[in-house]
Amino acid sequence: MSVRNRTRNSVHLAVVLLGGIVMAIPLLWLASSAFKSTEEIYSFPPVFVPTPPQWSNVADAIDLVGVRTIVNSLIFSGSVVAIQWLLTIAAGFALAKMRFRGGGTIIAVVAASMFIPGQVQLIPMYIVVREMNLLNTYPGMILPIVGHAAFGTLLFRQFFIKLPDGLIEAARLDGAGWWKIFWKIAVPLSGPASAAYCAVTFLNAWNMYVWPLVVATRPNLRVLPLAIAPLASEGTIVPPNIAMAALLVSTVPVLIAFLFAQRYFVQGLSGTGLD
Amino acid sequence: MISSPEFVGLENYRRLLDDGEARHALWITALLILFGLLPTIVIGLVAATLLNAKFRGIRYIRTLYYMPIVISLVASGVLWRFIYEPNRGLLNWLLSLIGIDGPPWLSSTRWALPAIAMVLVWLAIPLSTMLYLAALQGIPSTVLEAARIDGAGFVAMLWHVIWPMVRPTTALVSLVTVLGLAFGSFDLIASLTQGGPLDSTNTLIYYMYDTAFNQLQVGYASALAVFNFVAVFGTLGAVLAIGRRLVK
Repeated sequence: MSVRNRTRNSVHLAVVLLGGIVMAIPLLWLASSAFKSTEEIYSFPPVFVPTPPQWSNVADAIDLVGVRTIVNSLIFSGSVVAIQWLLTIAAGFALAKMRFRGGGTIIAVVAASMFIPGQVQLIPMYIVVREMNLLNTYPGMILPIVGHAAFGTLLFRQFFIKLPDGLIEAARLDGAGWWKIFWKIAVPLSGPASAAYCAVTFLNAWNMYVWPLVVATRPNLRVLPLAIAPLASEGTIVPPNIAMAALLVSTVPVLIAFLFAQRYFVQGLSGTGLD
Repeated sequence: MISSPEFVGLENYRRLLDDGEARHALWITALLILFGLLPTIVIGLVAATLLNAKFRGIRYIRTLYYMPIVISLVASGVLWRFIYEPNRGLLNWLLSLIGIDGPPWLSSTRWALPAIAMVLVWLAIPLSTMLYLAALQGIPSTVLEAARIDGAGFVAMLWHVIWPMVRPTTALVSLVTVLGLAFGSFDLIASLTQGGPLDSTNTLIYYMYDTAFNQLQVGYASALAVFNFVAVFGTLGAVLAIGRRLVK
């Protein structure tokens, strides 16, 4: 029995590991190709381990996309996360703990808006930004994305509903106003939920392509995905090893963050407390 | 750039009815959803079942499955163009090892859409696995133990025990995946094929974008957006209804 169990366990482990490796192959291929020399990238059969790794590819890739582009991506993603987090946590808290007329209606409207994909809203959002003369500006790029606050609002509302009412009652009896309760009690307690929400929001903003493509086409506002996209076109003159290094530059920061904060990412994405 | 709007009533919707290209785009969208949804559900559930075990280091193996979630659609477009390269690409080289002569993936009308679907499935598996794993961890282990003692093998366990128990998750995975395939696929198609070759990957969302921002017909594109929205949610409703019938 135990021998059979052990065999079954090792087969199980082998299968699951093999699947994981297959899932990771494209990313491993990306990491290896980013450091290949020109001969290695064009050689057939393919080379798996670049020897010696050509570190200069990374510097070339940063030159290619431009430091300004990386800074723009940080400004865009950082602003979206900061403003959206503030809006959603405040709205979520109010809808969970403050009793006011029309609260139920607001929740219903917010939930309904979740089902209209951003791509479908692309044209109306573009028209609004254009009419406000905000094309090719940071606010024009950031604010409409911040407005997609439904998911976060509902997430924080679910979180705060679980917060015992007694806690808030006690604070109110001690004379604390809502503002103080929000900042001193709700926000500090929301740590894990906030971390999960910010992680996922940052990832989405960092990877956003079609919206910046439409509203912010000037080079001085360009974000990373816009610099990366042309590398996929058939006619690109950028050698593949430099293109792969550019992908590395745009993906690795997020990947490292993911490996460190995997728990929060998984919680934010699946809305559960895994692990 | 775009002329000032002029109200034309239902003219744009009437035009939609006679537009063969829109019908074609609807068909392509439906195919993409079909090619993309089933593997995402099956692979996600099987992976989650295997990952729902207590081994040393299982968390690191889970990470391997989750990793593609961090790469953007645009970046995966660049990466997969390189992998799909017909003569020197990794995929065709791997296929040649087992004696298959790989097609010119992205420039073939027959293989471009499956190639796009394959990338989208690869990108969707992490979330599908996460959601299923969360659902499985909510199932009491005694249930699974009992089935195992009764002699249920892996497949029987999946089909008779796990599949009925994770139905709500399957609905959620279907929702997220269909939205990703129908709308989220835009970035990938824009960076890899631009709807080509010969419109074989021209999904509704790409057609809408092309109409609005390349041909500058915002009115008609808005009608396409509404049509797209209705079509996808109609499909989703149908999928969920059929699913409910299937797993009684």
